[in-house]
This record gives sequence, C-alpha cells and structure tokens, in this order.
Amino acid sequence: MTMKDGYMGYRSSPDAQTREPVSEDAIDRAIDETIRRYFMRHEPPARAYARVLGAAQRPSAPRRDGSAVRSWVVGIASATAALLLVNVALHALGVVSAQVAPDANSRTSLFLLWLSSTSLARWVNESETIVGYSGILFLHTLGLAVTVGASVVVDLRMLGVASRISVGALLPLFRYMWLGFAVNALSGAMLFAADAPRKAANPLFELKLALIAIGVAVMALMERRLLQAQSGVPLAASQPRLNALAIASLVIWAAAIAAGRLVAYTF
Amino acid sequence: MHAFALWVKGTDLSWLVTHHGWVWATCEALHFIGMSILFGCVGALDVRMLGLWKSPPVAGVNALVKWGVLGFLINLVTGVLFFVGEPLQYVDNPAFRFKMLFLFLAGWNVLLFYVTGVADQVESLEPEDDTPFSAKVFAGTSLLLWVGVIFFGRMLPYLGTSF
Repeated sequence: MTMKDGYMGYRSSPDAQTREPVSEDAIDRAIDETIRRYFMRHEPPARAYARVLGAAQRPSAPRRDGSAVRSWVVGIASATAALLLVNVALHALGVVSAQVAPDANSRTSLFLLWLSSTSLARWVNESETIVGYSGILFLHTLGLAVTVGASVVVDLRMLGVASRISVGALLPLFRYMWLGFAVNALSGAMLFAADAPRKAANPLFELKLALIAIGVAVMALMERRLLQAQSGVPLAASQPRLNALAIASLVIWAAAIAAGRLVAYTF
Repeated sequence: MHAFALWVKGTDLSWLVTHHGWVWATCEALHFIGMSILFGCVGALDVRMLGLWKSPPVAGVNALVKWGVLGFLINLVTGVLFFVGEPLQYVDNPAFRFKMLFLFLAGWNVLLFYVTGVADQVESLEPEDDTPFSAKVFAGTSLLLWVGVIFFGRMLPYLGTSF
C-alpha cells in the first residue's frame, strides 16, 4: 500500500495501521474539514485571505535542476570572498606574513612551489605551441568576454535598456554566463599553477579573486530573483533591489577586469 | 610605414602614454571592459539570429547594438593610444595585421548586414520566430570574426613581441 491510496486504503488495510498510521491524504482532509467548519462559523477579515494567498504563492518559487550545486558555488564563493577581502585588508595594512617572519608561511610556500613544479604547470609554461600558455590565456579572455558580456546585457536590461526584451527572456543567458565562468575557472587554475608563488604574493591577484567571487554571487542572486519572477512572484516589489544588483554587477566586473589587468603589469 | 611609426613615436602623446605606467595599465583595463561590452551586446544579437536564444523579439536585442558601439568606441580610443605609445612593436607584428584584417572584415560584415536589408527583414520578428538563412550567415560570420579579433589581440605578445 502506498501513501497515495489515501483515506480508504488506510481504513481497509489492517497492517498499514502499524507501519503508516496516518496517510498524508487523511491529514489533508482532516485539516480541510476543520478549516471549512471554522470558516462556516466565522467570516475572517480580508487581511486573512490575503495572508493565506501570499503564503500559498511564496513557496512555489521554482527550483531548477542544478540549483543545489549553484547554492554551493555561491556559498563557497562568498566564503572565499570574505577570506580574501580580509587578506587584502591585511596586505593593505602592511601585515605581510612573509615580511614579518619568512618561515611562518613556509607550508603555503611549499605548496605553491610544488604546484608550479607539477608537470601540468611545466607544460603550461614551456609549451611553445598555441595550446600552451598563450592558448589558455586566449580561452581565459574569451570566457571573460562571454561571462561579462552576457552580464552586461542582463544588467542593461535591468536598468531599463532594451525594454522590449521581457525579463523572463533573459534567463537562457545565464547558461552562457555559467559556461564562461566554468571555462575561466579551469583556465585560470591552469594559469595560476604555472606561476603560483608570484601570483599568490600579489595582493592585486587576491583582490581580483575576491571581486570575482562577489561578482558570481551577484550573478546567482539575480538569476534566482528572475526565476522567482518567472513563476509569478511580481517583479515590481524588488525592482529597486534588482537595479542595485545590476549596478553592483557592472561595477564589480569592471573592477575585477581592472585588477586582473594590473596583475599582469605589477610583476 | 616605419617612417610613420617613427614620427608617431616622436609625438608628445606617445611620450605621455609610455612615460606614466598608469596610463598604459588603465587603457588595458578599459580595452578589456570595452571588449566585454562589445562582445556581449553584439554577441547577444548574433545568438538571437542564430536561433540559440529565441525568447526575445529581434528588435529588443537590436536596441543593445548601440551599447556595443559604445564598447567599440572605448576600444578604438584605447587601441589607438596603444599604437601611438609603442608603434614600432605593432607595425611588423603578424598578429596585429591579422587583428586589423579581422576587424576590417567584421566592419564590412556589419555594413553588408544593414545595406542588404537583412537587418530590416529581421527587425519585426517576434519571440520564438526563426530568422532567414541569410541572417544566420551574417550572425555566424560576426561571431567568428569577433572571436578572431580577440584571438589575434591576445596573440600580440606571442606571435609578435608586443606587450
């Protein structure tokens, strides 16, 4: 017997009473009946109807496939951003552990040295062909153009440009953003491995990573809000917040690009 | 060509661009920001016409193109500043020549798209409408050429000796 057999099944099957004492349907019916009886006696104020309707609509925010993974990405990204920002702040204050005590950071340094000596890192560095360092750098640039380019389109639309595009129509663009981000995470990891100790010592590099983490979090927040809008939660209420997110996205991506470019020119 | 490059190198503007480190670095950042705006806005119209993003009307996406032009202008100005700053590292660079060729072809592609009337033809298309084959050819060519421009731009230090 399954839960779907409902009230009658619960009554007619004796062994169900031990394993499934009350089916979900039976509980629902009991609740409905109680509410019906109560409402017949008391006419509730209009406010109560509004509250019940609101509560019924809120949990219907859709959960698309992969949203759990995305929440993890956002969570990890935010935590990384927080850590890196603290680190950048320490750098800005002049507290560089390597300066204070050269040995204090030796375990990290060893890891970075090992990373840059792996055969992958050596191949990235020494390969003379187009699939080596320069090719990976090209993929990194292309991924940047796709992710930030699609973000710019979404941000501009949020700020009122190209208003003939319905807000729901923007959702497919997020696939391109996540694809570009995946390409850049991979190619970025390879480029980092090729030059780990120097990159890690550059505070601008940490700032760039922190900005990217925040940028990705903003991107995910926008996607979630648009998904909710698609399922019927009105957008108008959160329009100021969406505008703020759009402006934040533009500023953060521009800053991340600037930091990334400066990394290439500060060492 | 070399005489021209040498003359450019002798100008005050060239000195300004290369003498202060921050000018070059700022232009680099702006060049990449402009690239993202251009590639995003033009690429959006391309994927709409290719049928990879059918949910908006074509006219809606077309409204983004003027923002793409803004990105192009940012890159034109910063790009000219790079050339003025270090003309000698570009004139003989094969990657630079290919980049200019692809840029020229991309411009030609845009011109043909509007002159042949294909742009007007697709302007009235609503969401989920399919574009004619000619529009798909223009869109595919555009994407290919802009990716080519980015590729040869990135190869400037590797196929040649620019930084």
